Amino acid sequence: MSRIAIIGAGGQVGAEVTLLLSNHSGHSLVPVCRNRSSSAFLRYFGIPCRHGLINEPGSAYGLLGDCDIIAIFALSKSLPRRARITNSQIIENSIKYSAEDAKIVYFSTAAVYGEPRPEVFFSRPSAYGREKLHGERVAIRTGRLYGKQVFVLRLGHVCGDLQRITNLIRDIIKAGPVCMPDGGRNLSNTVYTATVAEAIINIASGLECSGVYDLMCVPQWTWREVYEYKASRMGRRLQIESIEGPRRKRASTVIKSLPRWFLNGMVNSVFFKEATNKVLSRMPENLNMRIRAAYSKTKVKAEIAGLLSHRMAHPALSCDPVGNKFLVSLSKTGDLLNRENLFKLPEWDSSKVFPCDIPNYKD
Amino acid sequence: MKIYRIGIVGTGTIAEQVHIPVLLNIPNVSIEWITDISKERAQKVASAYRLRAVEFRSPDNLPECDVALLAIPVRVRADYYQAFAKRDVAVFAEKPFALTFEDHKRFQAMFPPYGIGCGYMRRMYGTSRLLKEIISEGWFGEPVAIRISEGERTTATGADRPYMDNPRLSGGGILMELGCHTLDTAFFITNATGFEILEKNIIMDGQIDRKIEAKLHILYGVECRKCLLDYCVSWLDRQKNTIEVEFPSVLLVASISPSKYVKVQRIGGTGKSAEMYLSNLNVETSYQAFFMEWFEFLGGLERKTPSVIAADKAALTTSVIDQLYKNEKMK
Repeated sequence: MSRIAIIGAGGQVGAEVTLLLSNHSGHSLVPVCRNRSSSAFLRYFGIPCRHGLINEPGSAYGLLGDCDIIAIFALSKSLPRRARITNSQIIENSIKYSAEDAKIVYFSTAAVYGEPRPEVFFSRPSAYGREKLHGERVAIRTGRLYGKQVFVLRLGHVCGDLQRITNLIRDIIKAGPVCMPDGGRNLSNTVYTATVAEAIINIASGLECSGVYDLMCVPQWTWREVYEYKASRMGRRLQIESIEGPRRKRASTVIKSLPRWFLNGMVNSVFFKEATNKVLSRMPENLNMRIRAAYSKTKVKAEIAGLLSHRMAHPALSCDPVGNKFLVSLSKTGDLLNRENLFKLPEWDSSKVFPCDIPNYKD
Repeated sequence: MKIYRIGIVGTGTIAEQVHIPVLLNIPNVSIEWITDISKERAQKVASAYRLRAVEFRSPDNLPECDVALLAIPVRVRADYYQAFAKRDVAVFAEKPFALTFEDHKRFQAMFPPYGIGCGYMRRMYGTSRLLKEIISEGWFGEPVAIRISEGERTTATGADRPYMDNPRLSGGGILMELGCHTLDTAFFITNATGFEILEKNIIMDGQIDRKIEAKLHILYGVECRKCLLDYCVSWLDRQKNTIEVEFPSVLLVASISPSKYVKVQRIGGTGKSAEMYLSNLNVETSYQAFFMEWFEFLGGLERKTPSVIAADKAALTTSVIDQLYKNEKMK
């Protein structure tokens, strides 16, 4: 029977995955949290935990020494330099102090690809994406050093009953017709916590080979499907308002948009406007009229956008799909979500609240 | 998505600086042609916006379109209404719709109710919508009085010979040009069904009215309730430029400029006030108001139902202007 450690079990994704895994009897679970405040929610649901700091070698061994699957969800968010050091230590210690044949599952993010959107010419990873990318390199390098299999799973937008994005989707559905570019046909880059839990189980069962993978719904769900699923869970019919999606930017459109940049400057900057007026006073009248026409169109566009901002789609709905290497053993997400009990959050049981902690490992 | 082809008759300031840039920002609209009595003017505007200018011709010979925008003086529109009605072209007319109530009804009858609109865009303002909601839902009870005060001393007009100074074209002065908006707003927010003019005082400059003060009863509701309208519009002196709606214990004050905020204060209170606004789709600028009126009009065409700016809903406004001008030396 595998012993699965969840590092960062108190976090948003870690907690829900822990609860889902607690439904499965084929393994034992060791949720690891920094302190009792972060583990309180899990312990309230009857899940015993271990507490300690993975980045401290002295405690890492006691927390992970008997675990043969290490799922790393934790991410330090302190000052950038401190966070970089702590995150590296968490990954290195997880690999070094886990059981000899332990498999390491490092949960990264699709944000490493940046946020590719049709209207953005260059897309670069955010600070979060860069930190996770660094974590991937540390995990792979350290895994090689200690001869342990490392699985890097890049998560898309994580959906689940306890996830913020699902709450946001719920609020958007409640507020009325949902604006969706191109009727919601874009692939969503989402993954449900049920799929995340299944990925861990399948890796523990030896159904996958180590490597870097993108973890998304199987097959990838469109935004329409994501919203329809949530609406059906809410007992509502989803109303969609299809809007035109953003146009793809090409090098030629970047160059063509320079005048628009200039006009936006005129709309938004008094200095720019004054300087332009000074130049135009020396130009032919028809050029004056052309500039005024272009200025009016730009100003109208900005004001209409301000008026209709509530009718704009959430920015995530127009992102390009990412991901090209996927785990092979996963079930279809739709089937997984419909499996009673196994991939649903457990019911709260008052007789099980705040159990004793899992004793630390002692060699 | 149906693309509506728009033809524009009249390329004066309102068309050039407002309607055209707004229409160019509406996805399901295509400006097919523009025309003006001044060929040079039409060509300049067409060149500025890269549109097609056609020679000014009789209304029957204008090119095809689905909707015609009439941005020409009110006195010269009759032939256009007839021609476009015969060709099944919908018409969006700049305010005012017609000179007399009789003409209004006659022109309106030429079109299906959803196919003829009048551009009283102040109905779209956030303040107008909120005041309408407050009155119709009885948030503070029945309104006791509405006071409208609009205007400013005219200074530079920006034009050599503004058409407003030509009663043969404009049909009137400040009441026809400016005051119609606030009168229409008063009728709109109360959902008026009628009016009674109690008194009026019009200062005439030859045949052009420069200031009007009037007291009216606005009739509204199924029981024909009365609300006093104390009205002043002026090109001769500075006015407060507000719409005040008085309830038994509360006074609401809104600016006549585009805005979403309505000030609320207690009558007989300490003078402190609060501001309120509707939580969504708040029109706060003129461009937004023009965009919304086109949005509503085209939506009405699509659904074949009269929109909020259907000409029928402006009939009372034309009627009150007609009545206020009666016996004045300009018809």
